[in-house]
This record gives sequence, structure tokens and C-alpha cells, in this order.
Amino acid sequence: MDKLNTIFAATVTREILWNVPTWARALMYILFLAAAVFCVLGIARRVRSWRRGREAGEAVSPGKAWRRLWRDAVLQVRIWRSGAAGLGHALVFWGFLVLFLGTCIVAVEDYGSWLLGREHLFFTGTFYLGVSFALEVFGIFFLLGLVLALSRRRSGERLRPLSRPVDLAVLWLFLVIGLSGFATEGLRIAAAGGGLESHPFERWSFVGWWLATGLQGLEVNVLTSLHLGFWVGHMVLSMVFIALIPYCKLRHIFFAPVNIALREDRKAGRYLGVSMEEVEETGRYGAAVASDFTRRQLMSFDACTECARCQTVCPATATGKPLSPMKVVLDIAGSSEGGESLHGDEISPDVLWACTSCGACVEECPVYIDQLGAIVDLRRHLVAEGEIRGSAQAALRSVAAAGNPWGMPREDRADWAEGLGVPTIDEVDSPELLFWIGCAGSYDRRSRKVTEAMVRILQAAGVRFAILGKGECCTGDPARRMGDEFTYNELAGANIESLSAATFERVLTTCPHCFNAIRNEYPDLGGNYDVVHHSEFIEELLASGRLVLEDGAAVRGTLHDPCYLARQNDVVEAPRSVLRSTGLDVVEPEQSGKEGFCCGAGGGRMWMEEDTGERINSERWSQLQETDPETVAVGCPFCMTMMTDARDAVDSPVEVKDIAELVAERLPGSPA
Amino acid sequence: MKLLVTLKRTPQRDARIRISEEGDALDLDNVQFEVNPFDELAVEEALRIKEARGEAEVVVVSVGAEECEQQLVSAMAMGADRAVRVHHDGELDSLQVAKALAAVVEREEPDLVLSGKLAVDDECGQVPAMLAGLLGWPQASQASDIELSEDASGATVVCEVDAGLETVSLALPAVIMADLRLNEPRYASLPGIMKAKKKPIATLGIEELGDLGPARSRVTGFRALEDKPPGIKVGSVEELVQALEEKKLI
Repeated sequence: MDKLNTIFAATVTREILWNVPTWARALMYILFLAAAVFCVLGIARRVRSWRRGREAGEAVSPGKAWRRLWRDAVLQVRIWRSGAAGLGHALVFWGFLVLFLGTCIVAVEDYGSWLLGREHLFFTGTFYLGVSFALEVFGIFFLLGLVLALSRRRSGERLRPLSRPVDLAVLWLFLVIGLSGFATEGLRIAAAGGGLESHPFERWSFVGWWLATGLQGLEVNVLTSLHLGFWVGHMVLSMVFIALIPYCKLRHIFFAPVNIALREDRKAGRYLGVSMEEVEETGRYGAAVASDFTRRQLMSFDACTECARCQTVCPATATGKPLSPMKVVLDIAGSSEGGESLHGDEISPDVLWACTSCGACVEECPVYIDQLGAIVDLRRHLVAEGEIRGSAQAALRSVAAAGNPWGMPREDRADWAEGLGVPTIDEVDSPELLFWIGCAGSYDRRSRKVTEAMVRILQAAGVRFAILGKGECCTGDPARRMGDEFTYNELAGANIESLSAATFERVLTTCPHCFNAIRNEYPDLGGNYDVVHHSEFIEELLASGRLVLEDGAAVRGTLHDPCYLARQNDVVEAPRSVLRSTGLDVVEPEQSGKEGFCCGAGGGRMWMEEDTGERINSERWSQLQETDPETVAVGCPFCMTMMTDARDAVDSPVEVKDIAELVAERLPGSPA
Repeated sequence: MKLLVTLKRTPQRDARIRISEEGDALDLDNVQFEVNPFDELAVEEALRIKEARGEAEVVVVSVGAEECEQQLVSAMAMGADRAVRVHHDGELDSLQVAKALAAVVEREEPDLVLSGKLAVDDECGQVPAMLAGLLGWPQASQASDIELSEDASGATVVCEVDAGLETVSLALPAVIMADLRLNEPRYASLPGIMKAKKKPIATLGIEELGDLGPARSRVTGFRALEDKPPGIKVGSVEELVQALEEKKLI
């Protein structure tokens, strides 16, 4: 290499802006200035619109921000999940990034050498050859990615309902910019300095070299004219692109990395709280207009790439409901510069109430937009306006008055425990577990069987546990998902008081909604507890040998993952491992684990009518049937109700059972 | 225009009501209360009339002790503008309540009185009709649809009757009683409750409202319904016939 350097040091480079006359250079600077002004103004307008939002959230440490950028912007980790589209984007992105860096290097070399009065700065020798080679490779990546993206659109694969002509035009623009760049290079290599022989080292620019060898027959003046033509075309189109960025979905080039780096650190299952003092002071609650969102939320909406992955995974969209999480985000972003109401024909109550709060959109979004958080803020406004009626309102009233959404008497809450030898917390001194029963586990006939099965398991394993009894009330999860923070705060406050008055090591719950609320949301109100879902706890009991199950015949089955367990809380393996130890041969449905498909009951949907489109639970049931199961295992009382209803609607003989029931069936001495 | 809505504090609709051991009173110790659901329909209707006409005042009125101010606040949280409470701590019969309300109506001079068709606690359903009678106003009961004329001089009301629907038109002022299908009431949410706390509640002593006369009826006792025997499942038509014969039902 050293030898190569000494031989070529003086000559291995190229003349920057070769064959570009003064008028063309002037045109470049004028257009660049105009494009830059357009671009900066457009970005400034968006940033100003964010500043209208409320202040909220903690700053992200620089180290964390860089790590996030490295993972999700540079390495494109989240993009990769969707196959060809992910590959296409990564190729275009990496190609674009390296070509952009190449342009920067050339600019630094040009201005730097001029400023320092030197012939060259560093764009010579091996560095020149290395950069040239890299630009060829990544230029090809860029073109390949574009061809992939264009062919996907051509073949109609996953044609998005919201795809607009401008989306296609942007791809063609990129393609022409890329091709004209290679053409300019080829023409330069063919014509500059008397042709190929004068600079054999340009072989490193292998695409340009290859083009140049094909162009050798042409006269030099034809080559130089063509070169100038392509150079001007390439330059003008690049300026058009720069000017366009803030005015179409290309704006994600700026805003997606910003959101990836600066987004709030928060799980989808943990909602942003609302302070009652603030509501009292401002009289505002929920999002009526764009400026009711936080600055960070408004910033995130501008990061939207319109990839539509959120609506592809949305159970409401999939079953013909009027909700598209992407459209909600775009509608808010579209109105963030004005002050008009967000609520109307586009974001209607039907759109907002269709959400099951399953969080699939949030999990899927490649640029970390929290669509669910936005929907909840919009729901809060509906609640503030009293726009929650019928059965959903009745559930909210019942939960506030009776401590459970069905309006069953408080004093009956522990009736299920009669004769089972289950002690209440005041009867046991510092138990290992506080068994949190939940409303369904306390009152719902079917879910009570799950509670009883769990009691048998705890008793068989000799676990010292107790229940709160009549002192337990709804965690507030349904109220919070429906947008009623007031009721949520009342209920959560009451529960935190009861829990904090008791002494125990951990809280056990069979309901992922209770699990999520106590684990992720109660800490915001001062309630910090070690919470386990029964699937995790049973796994521990089995692993430590405290619980031993009897062998039995293997059963083919599948697991329907609860959203609030798998997706919101990353509990994916525990239920599977427990099911396997009961002899269930778990066959995975296509959508499972963190990518599971909701049963349809979250977000307060449990208490609402579903009268538009297909039923979400029936859709899920059909998906599960593709695994040809004898048993469908669930780990959530809502899923239990929804899957049982879906099964009964088609009169299927398949069993729907909770994990706890399947375990209890294999307890020694238990009737199978 | 001015709309007056009468409302009653009644036990929460899901509450389990127990009878005291002596059988002479209800045990309401752990019971929560709410606005009588039918009166809530009347409040919602008044608010809809107000919203449709752009301008109207909605006044809610209740007769009772201090705690019924909670229900007046709930109605104001839904959107009612102000409240009047006629203070009385003790028993009143329907006619006495109607007389008290009539006195309030004479002071307030509303264009329309809306009330629930009955209160879900005792289900008497007498007060609104008595009120119309005392005022000499027309009344429409069990309304499932109310339409006011442009100049608010009259109303067309669809009433639910046993055989179906009956449409009546009446001149205002009048008393209209809300039935279940009239509307779906809005939710009294947090910002509404906060605003409601700043809205005025006027308190009137019941003695200021003139002579209500003696009570003509009183409650003499309570008795719970006897538990129904559980149902049985039969396997076939023959078994059904046999079971009915055994019970001497056929």
C-alpha cells in the first residue's frame, strides 16, 4: 500500500467539478441555496408546530440517544423485521448515507484545499481509491434497494390503501438521481485527461469504469457534452429532492432519527398520567387540538414514514373497523400547525373506540411512534365531553361505584373462596404471595374456575399466600384504557392504600391487565410491588421442584398470547414452558408472542358492542384453528371470554383452557 | 328559554338493597347513590335541547337533605347550569314532593319541566303527573322522542304506550317525563365535575314553599322477595310434559 501511495500520491485523484463551466457551477450554488432555504423553512415550520405542544417527560441522556441511533437508524434493526421491505429500505438508506458522506468528503476537499491554498487535502491515493470503491458499492446498494421497492409496488404486494402517487414519484426520483450519478462518472472517466489510459486507477470506480469502456467509441467532445448534461440533470434533481424533504413523507429522513434518539422511555402498557391539579387549573383534559399533545408526541407524529405497518397489524383495521392508527397519526400531524379541533369526521368517536389498546401498532412502528398513547389522549377528550355512552359508560359507572365493571356487589367479591381454605391478608402473617384475584377471577363464572385452579396449585406447592378479599377492587385498567383518568386514579389509589397496608413478598395475578397496571402503572402513583403473572410463577414452582406434575397423554394445542402479557410485558417463554410441562404440544400460530393478534377485549372493548366488520375474536379463532389444536390455551380472563365466545359461535369441540387449569389437571391425585 | 329538570337521589342501580332486621326500614349503610337513571335521561334531553337551540338555561331541582347535592353536582357536571335544593330531611309522600316542586316551578317560571318517568327506588311514578296537575299544565308521559316547535310554544312528543307509540302535541309550558329510549345520557367526567363545583346551588327551606299538607300515605313495612327455587333441565319433550304434570301445571 505504501508503495502504491508513493507512486500515485500526486496523481491518484480526480479534478473536482471537472468539465463544469462557471455558469453551471453558479446554477448549482443558486439552486442549492434555494433548496436549502426551502428545506430549512419547511423543517422550521414543523419544529415550530411541535413547540405549541405541552412540555412533558424527561430528557434522554446523550449516551442513550447515540446508542439508539446506532441500533435503529444506522443498523436499521427494527426495519429488518418486515422481509423484502426491510431489506429494500436498508439498502436505500445505507446507499444514501454513504453517497451523502461521499459528497461531503468531496465538498470538504474542495473548499478545504481552496481555503488552505493547497492543491489537495486528503482526497488522493489510497483514500481516494477506497472512497471511490465504497461509493460504487453503496451506489449499487442504493439502486438495488430502489428496484426492490419499485418491484414490490409493481407486483401489488401489500399495496397500502393510503399509498399516494407522490410516494411512487419519490422512488423514481431517487432512481434517476442514482443512475445519472453513475452515468456522469462513466462519462468523466471516458473523457477526462484523454481517456481511460490516463487514469488506470479509476478501475476502482468499477461501475464508472465499466460504463466508460462501453463509451470509448464516442468522440471526446460528445462525451464532454453528455457529461455536462448528465451532471446538470443529476445536480438539479438532487436539489429538487433536498427542497422536497420537509413537504412529504421524506421528512422522516430528519424526524425519524430525532424520534428514535429522543423518544420517551416508556412501555406501551404504561400510559402518561394526567395530574388532577393540572386539569383543575387549565380545565383541559385529553387532546381536543394538536397543541394538547406533548412536544415529544408532536415530534413523533412527524417521524411517520407512512409505511402502514401499524395498520397492517391492527386488529381493528384487519376486521373492517374504521380505525387506522397511521391515519390518526397523519391527521394529527396534518393539523398541528393550525388550532382546529382534531375531532370530527376523520377522527370520529367510532374510530377512537375501535381501538383494543393491544399495542400491536406501537410494537411494530419502525420509528417508535406511540399511536396508542395518541388514541388514549383523544379518548380522554371524548370522556371529558361526556361522549362515552351506553354499555361502556355503564361499565365505567359500575367500576367507580361497585369496584368492578359488571356492577356486582362489593361484598360478594370473595364468595368464590368459600370452603376453599383461602385466607385473607389479615389472617396470615407476612405471606410469600398476595394473590390478586381481579374482577373476572372474582365474579365471572368461567374465570372463577381459573382462580380455583390456581388456588389448588398454590396449595399443592405449599405456598403461603393470602388474598385481599373484599378489600380488593378493580385495578382501574378498563377506566384508564377508556380514557377516564379520574376513575383510574380513584381505584388505583384505593388499591395502593390496601396493598401498602399489607405485608407480603410478591403479588401474583392471573389477569395480564391487572398485572400490567400494578407492575407498570402503579409505580407512577407511588405503589411499587414485585408482581408476577401466574405463568411465570408456575414456571418458578416447577423449576424449583416445589410443584411436581403427573405425566399424561400428550395433547396437541396452541397458545393465544395475551397482549398485556406478551407484547406489553415481554412474558413470552414462561407460558410456553409451563404448557409443555403439562404435556401440551404447543403449535405456534402464525401470529404469536409479541406479534400476537388481540382477542378484541382490551381497551374497554370488553364492554362495548362490536357491530362493524368481522368480529375480532372470530378472526383470531380462525387463525388459531390453522394449528389444528385440541386445546387452545389462554392466560387472561378477557381472552378466555373472547375465545370461548368465538368457539361457541362456530360450535367447535376445541377446548379453551387457562394455563392454570391445564396445570391443575396434572396435579397428583387430580381427576384428569 | 328556561328548562327545569327534577331529579331524585336513588341508590346506585347495581346496589344490593337489604331490609333492616325489624323490617321497617332499608339498610342503606354501604349503599352508594346516584341520580335516578330516568331523571338522568331528562337532564340529557334538556342539555340536547339547549345545544340544539344554542341558548337555554338548564336548572336542576331536588328535594332532600344535604347529601342530595352530590346528585345535583352530577347533573351540573353533565352540563346543567345551576341547581336548587329544597331542604328536607325526612319522609315526604308524593303529593308533598309535588307541591314543593310546584312552588319552585312558580318561582322559576320555566318553559318546560322535564323529569324521569319514575324513580327506581320506590317506582311510584306519581310526582311528575301530580306536578302537572297542581300547575294546571299539560303533560306527556313516557316520552321516547321530544321535538320543540321553532318558537318554543309547543312540543311534539312520542310516548311509549302499551300497544306501541303514541304521538301527542302539547302547548308549553308543560311537564314531560323521560322514558328509557329517549336518549343515551352523557358521562359526567372529571373536567365537568370540576366545573360543576363552581356552579351555584341555591337552598330553599321547605317551609318557605307554603303549606304542603299532611302526608296521605306512609310506608308501613318492607319485605324481601322469597328466593325462587332453582330451575331444572329436562332432556326431552316427554320429560318436560312429565315434569309439568307432576307440578300440576298442565
